[in-house]
Amino acid sequence: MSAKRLLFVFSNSPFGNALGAEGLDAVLAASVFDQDVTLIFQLDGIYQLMKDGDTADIGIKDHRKGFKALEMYGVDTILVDAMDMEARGITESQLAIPAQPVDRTKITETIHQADAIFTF
Amino acid sequence: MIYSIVVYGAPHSSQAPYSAYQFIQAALSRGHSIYRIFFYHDGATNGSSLVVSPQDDDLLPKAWHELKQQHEIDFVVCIGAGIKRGVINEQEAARYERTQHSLNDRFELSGLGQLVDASLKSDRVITFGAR
Repeated sequence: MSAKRLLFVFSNSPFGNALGAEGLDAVLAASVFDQDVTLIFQLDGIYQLMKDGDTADIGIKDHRKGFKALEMYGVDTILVDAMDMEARGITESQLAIPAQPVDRTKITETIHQADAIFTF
Repeated sequence: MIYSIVVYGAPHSSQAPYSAYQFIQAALSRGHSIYRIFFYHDGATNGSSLVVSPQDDDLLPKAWHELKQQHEIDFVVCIGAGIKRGVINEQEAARYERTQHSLNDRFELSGLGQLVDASLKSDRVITFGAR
């Protein structure tokens, strides 16, 4: 069976709910299945990738560190919606991992090409 | 078509499990099949046998049990999401030294690999409750 294209779309900010943390767990689980894994960060999901900030004072674990481990798991196609980044005043230098800013055409194309989409 | 369904929302808290249930009924009535329902995030609560619904608002989680009796569908509560939300079976209760367990026996407690497996074996994966 040829590898399937599994797409994970993150649209929620990191600490208002557990979707980011649990989405990351799902990505890590998928990474061991030898499939073609792609991530898209859009809307407030882009805040998942911010370099700065810590959770020491709010009593919860900072799952965002886990995104840095993705490369080690062979997950290296990480796209960010460039328009959503701009709308939030976020630049590439503020991101914790090398993610590729792309336009909406590329986002749409990636979604169309995916065999399965997981949204978080 | 073969569908798998992912549910993120809890009954009596989110519309997600209700929409998922209606979608599943519609799909089945049109001759499609459901391979697996994966309960993740707050959706894990759907697998609790301790939920008490008001008499006039008792579709879920009860209807999951009827669905499971009528169709060959895998009901999986993510073990990671479940144990954090108090949805555990007898085995996990023993492992973590809890005196009670809550998982309804029509549901299975298993890992995220079951979510990935569902996507490999289904034509479509539909998620309810992501935003």
